Amino acid sequence: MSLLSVQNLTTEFLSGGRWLEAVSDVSFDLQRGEILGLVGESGCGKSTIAYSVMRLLASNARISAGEVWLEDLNLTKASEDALQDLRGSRLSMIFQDPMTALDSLFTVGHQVIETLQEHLGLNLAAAQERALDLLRQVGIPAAEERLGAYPYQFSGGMSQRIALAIAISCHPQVLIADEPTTALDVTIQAQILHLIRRLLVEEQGSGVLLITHDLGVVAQVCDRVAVMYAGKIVECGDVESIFSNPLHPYTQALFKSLPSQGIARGALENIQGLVPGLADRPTGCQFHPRCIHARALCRERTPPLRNAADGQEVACVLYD
Amino acid sequence: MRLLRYIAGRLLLLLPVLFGTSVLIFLLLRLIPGDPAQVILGLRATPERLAIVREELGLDLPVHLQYGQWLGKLLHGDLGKDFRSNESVSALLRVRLPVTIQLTLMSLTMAVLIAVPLGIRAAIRPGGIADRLSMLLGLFGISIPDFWLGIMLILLFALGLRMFPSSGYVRLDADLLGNLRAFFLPALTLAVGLSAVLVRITRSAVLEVLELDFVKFLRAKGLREQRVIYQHVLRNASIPIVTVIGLQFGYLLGGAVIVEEVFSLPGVGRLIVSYTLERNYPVVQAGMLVVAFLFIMVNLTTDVIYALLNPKIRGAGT
Amino acid sequence: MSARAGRVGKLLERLRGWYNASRSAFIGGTIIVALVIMTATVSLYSPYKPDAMDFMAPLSAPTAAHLLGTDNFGRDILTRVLYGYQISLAVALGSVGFGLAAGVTLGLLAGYFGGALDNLIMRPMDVLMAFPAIVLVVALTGFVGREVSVMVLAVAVVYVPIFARVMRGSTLEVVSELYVEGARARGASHLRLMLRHILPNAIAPVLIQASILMGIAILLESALSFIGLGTQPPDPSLGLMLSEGRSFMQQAPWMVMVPGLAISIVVLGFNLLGNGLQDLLNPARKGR
Repeated sequence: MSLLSVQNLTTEFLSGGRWLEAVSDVSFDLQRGEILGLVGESGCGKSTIAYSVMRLLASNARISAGEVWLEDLNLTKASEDALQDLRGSRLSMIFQDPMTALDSLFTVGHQVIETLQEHLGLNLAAAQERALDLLRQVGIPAAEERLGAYPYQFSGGMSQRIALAIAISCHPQVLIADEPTTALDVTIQAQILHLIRRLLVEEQGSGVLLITHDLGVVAQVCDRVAVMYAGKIVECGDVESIFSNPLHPYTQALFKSLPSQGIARGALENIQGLVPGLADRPTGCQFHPRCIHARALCRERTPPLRNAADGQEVACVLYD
Repeated sequence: MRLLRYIAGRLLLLLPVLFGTSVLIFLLLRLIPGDPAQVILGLRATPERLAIVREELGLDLPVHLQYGQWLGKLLHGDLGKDFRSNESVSALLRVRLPVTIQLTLMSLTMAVLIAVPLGIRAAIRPGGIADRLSMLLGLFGISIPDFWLGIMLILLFALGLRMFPSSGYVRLDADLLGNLRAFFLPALTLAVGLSAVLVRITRSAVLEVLELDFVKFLRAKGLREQRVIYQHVLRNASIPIVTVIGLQFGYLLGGAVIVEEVFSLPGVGRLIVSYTLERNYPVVQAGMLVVAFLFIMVNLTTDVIYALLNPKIRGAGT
Repeated sequence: MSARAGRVGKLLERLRGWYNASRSAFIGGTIIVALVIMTATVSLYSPYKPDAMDFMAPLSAPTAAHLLGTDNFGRDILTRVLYGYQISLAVALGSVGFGLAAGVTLGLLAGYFGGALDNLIMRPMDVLMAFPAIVLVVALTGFVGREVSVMVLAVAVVYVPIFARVMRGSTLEVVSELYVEGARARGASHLRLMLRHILPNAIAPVLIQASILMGIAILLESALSFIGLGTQPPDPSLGLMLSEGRSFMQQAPWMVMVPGLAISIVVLGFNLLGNGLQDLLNPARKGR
């Protein structure tokens, strides 16, 4: 049994009185002791998958089809109470901007401790002890004094370490990290990624779903990667296989634009056109209007994800 | 340390306002058409009395010296004299001030108890019953004149249902229950208008905080929704709410002027009105000074609470 | 015939457009327009004069002859309310007009020139704002004189700093906009810049404020008349009617109910209008 299994997930947003698909029929599995990278340009639906798994979608969004399983528990059917128990304990999440993820009016100690008390029912002394331990684990210097400090007194990198300390405080089985290093500079980035690998994967054997637009980040820490385009996974497989032999034309385009500036924002320089918005997605393969290999068939058929090579799946008619 | 410096800075900013306020109140006496001494004492005053009052008010001096003399007395705690009864105004205010303070504090408490929970519920569930109620309160609360609301409450609860007295004042130390009963309707009257303003700001402040990133993280770490809202969101929203309460205290003091009149409560507001009607101006000036001073001090207190709520200004942490 | 039907249709269409743009502003505007028409033409249709006493029917409950009853002198309350609106609206219009003119001028100057002039203008405004509005108005009318004209000026004095602050803030926002920079680069004079470029673009928030302050002026006028410092008897001011009715509120509750409701309705109208305009100007903040 997989640790986390997303099956045919479709998530929609309400916009101008219509429900529009942000994530369409997406399936993937996350195993224990594995970091799965979810890569794509902004607006491709990767964060929506994260919020769908956490069941923390905004009120104008809904899961309209599919299921998400955490081991033998169906998250899409779980009650709000059960979900609240799960979040922060078996299922954790950290966010892109660490400077706004903490409540500026409470000490970081309080914010670690309240999580421990909520899920583990520790008394104050025990929770303080454990909080101190956690801050040391994530590498906060002078942890004892820093427990009483407020978020504004920390740098971005330190704040993300604290957020990570909170996220791992109750030994989660799954951590979802939504662009956890995008707001940080490169050296700090590497430290945080290394910390995630060591504390979660190596020490606990947890699974990590790492959402990023940066193929460099994927290369650094991920075991497997799923490439998303316009609400769908177009290619999925081992990092080595995909990096050495990308199959989908979109993945290939991503790699071609990599050395210059990655796929930070906006147009890829060697592909024409832009990512379609939610309201004007094309029929058939989502990528066909921009694809150099596109044929008439691509406009009609939505190719499913299928095995193309060892450890590699791709959704493209080229490999039928 | 940082907090002290912040408070000192605020106090420094207040000095010019206090000075300007005193000048304005002083100048009011000069606005009286004709001879102020004559107006204050009435037409039948003897020339001797008129001379004494002119002397006391310093009317024979040039204006800037008059102000200097008046301010000098003020700074020594001498608020002047009621020229009709020869009583000192300080003594008069000592009796009146507690009434106004109790009235405003009670209605402030009521308004917070009504508006804050309602505003929170309105923000949590937009379009729900609480949201509609808060919208109605926000609209009608500021449209209904408070003196009329007071009269209606008297008609219904005092004359109709006989649950509360229709007017009159019972001292707090004489009869606690009677005192609270006497203050209930006037405080409620004042509270309705204030809660209209408060419910709006609470709703919008909570809505704004709910959209912040840290709320997502609190939910992602599985904190109970009750604690997310009542501990974190409310604490963050309280900063704009407290600021508005401070600004609205002026509204309460102003409302007290009218409501004390409606319910015959002997407070500073009623003093200002009745002594204005009698043209007993020195007493009115003292009353206005007290009101302005109270208002300025409340704003200072608001600034301090604002700082206490905000660790960055407070300089908290290690 | 068809041309006329076309015109009516167009009018209806435009009304529906306004209604859809902001329900709140539409309802508020309708209340105000209706009240203004009713009160401006009251002498044409009312069978009573506001101070005509009917000694046969003092304290009469609402009847067919006196739709909202009579007061202790047998005066028709509905008629007096409609005349009372004239005073309310005149005081509100006058005080908002003076306050607006002075406040906009001061705020524009303070925001445009900044620096020492800004301080010279705005610091005295802080002093005026250190008093609750009603206290300042009570004092001014009490010290200067109990006349409608003094009351108008007193309320205006309270309003000047409010308008000045709003105008100053809005000027500061507009001053940095590109088109102002452009006009300045083309060598426009200060006066031309202020009147042609800044004023029209910065005035909207001030006008919204004006609608809300119209309502508050009506509340202040009635409060002042209620305590005896505003309109003097026998003029039919709504606040005065309320205070006269207090002595009879048990025998004739309509004497206090009607004027209070009348005040509430007109103030509600101005508040609805102000809120609606606010939403129209700033759709993102709708309902906040």
